[in-house]
Amino acid sequence: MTRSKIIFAALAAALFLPTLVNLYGFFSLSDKAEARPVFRLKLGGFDPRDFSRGRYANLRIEWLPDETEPDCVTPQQTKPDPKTGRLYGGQRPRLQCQFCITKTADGATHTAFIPPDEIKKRSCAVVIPRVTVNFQSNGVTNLQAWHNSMMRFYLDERLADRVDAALRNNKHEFSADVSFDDKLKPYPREFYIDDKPYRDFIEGR
Amino acid sequence: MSWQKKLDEWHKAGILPASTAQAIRNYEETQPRLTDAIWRYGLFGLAALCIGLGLWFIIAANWQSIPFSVKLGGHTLLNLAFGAATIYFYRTRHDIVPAVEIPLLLTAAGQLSIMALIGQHLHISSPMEDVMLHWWLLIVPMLLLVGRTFFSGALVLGLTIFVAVTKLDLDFRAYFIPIFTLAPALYILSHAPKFKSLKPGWIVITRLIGLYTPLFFAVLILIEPSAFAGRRNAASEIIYNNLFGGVLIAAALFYLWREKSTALNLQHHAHHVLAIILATATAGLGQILIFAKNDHTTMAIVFCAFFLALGRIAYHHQRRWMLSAAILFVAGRMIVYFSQMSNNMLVTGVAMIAIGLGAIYLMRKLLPHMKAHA
Repeated sequence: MTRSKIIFAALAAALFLPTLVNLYGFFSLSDKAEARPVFRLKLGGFDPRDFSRGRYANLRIEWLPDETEPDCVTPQQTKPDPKTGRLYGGQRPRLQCQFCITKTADGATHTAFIPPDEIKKRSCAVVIPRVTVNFQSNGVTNLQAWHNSMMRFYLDERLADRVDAALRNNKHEFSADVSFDDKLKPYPREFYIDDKPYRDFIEGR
Repeated sequence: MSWQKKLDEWHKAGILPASTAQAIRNYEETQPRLTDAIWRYGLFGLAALCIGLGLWFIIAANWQSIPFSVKLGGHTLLNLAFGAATIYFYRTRHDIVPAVEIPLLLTAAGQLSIMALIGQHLHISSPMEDVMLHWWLLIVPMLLLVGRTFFSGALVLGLTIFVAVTKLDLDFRAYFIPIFTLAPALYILSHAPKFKSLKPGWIVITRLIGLYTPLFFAVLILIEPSAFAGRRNAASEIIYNNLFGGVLIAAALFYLWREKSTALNLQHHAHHVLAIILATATAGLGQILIFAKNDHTTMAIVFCAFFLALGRIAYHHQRRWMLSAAILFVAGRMIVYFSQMSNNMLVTGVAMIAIGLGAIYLMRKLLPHMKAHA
């Protein structure tokens, strides 16, 4: 191979390979995303953003289970917060209850907050470890995952303002179809307002 | 002072005989004027700018309606085309630095934007440092192999420092960062050819790019992106936009002042500079009036009519800078008007393409009838 051909090959590789790598990355990520199970999970907070005119909302998964094992809710009473009066049971290092996500026979999502020894007995599709439990004085259980529960969902720019308004309005319920990668990082697939895909909800379909 | 006045002075002083002065005059009148070339290139640049922006706006207006496969396929083809253009110019026009460097930098930038496109489609929210590391891996080989200008060096240097500091948790003061990051950049910079080695045609184009780039941003700012977000007519934004436009014009003036000692002197460029100042200042004044009266249509018609009349006078008296000002202003004013009235990027895009085509028409029809600048 002559010197000029080597230079040409190096140039072609340097200039064309990056685009091909990006394309491979897309198809690879897309295939993996398609292969993963999708769960419908409730959403808690949100953080709408308008970054460089690219409209997206940061959505936060609310780790509220459909079912909670009694061992996981017994409060470990500690000193109440003088300002709020809340009793913080805080983390339960011994029990370490975990968040188990399963698919039911009809394809619905079932979530349970269970002790570790229960995990093996159930066929959990996804297990979110390191969930912290806060007990509030009014008896409401609020679960927080140490795990990253924020997801960025890119909205249709034409509907973004109306989605933003709906998010700020506390009258609606929000949920999302979510899949998890091997590191349990959540990826949103679809965003729902009052159980309707957000496009259908906004356009009144 | 123009060469005609100098000739007259020398003739009156008895240095130059009348026959020689007349012979010089006859010879010069048969030569193509440099100002003609600048004017034509400038108008062509404006037309290309308008058409390019128009196409951009039309694509942007329909962005959500375009299927993802078309976006990804189109972007991939665009990136590959930029890469092919880089190789083509590298092999055939190696001595013309911008011919190689521009498609190279577009190829590099295209990698980042295709990553953003994929990320948006799959709703991936990767940390900035991961994105930059991936981009760094993709583009540094091509920049080191082909890049020869300050921009390539700065991109390699800046990205390497960012990735090193954010991804590897390195300290800025660590000794090896400057060694490993500055070395390739200095190598590139040391091989960058001097500005003077460029061919004359490219010198003109490069300088006109230097002139019209601030204009490009000034026009973009005058369009008021906020108009699309439903926050138009905010006084503070108008003042801010015009101040920013003024800073860009000052940058253009500085650029021209710095170049005045070269063959293309300030006198030649002054036509363009005055045109830009006039167009921007009047567009700003028009915006303030619109804010006060809240009547876009009347103001647009009044200002366009005024400048079209000015353009007619300029054409009659062969004053090219006035004609430039009129065309630039009408173009800018129409863009602002369409964007504000329609609040629709599609309409604005079509209007801009029409303005660009109009500029090409003017260039073809009017310029050949104008006499050499006297």
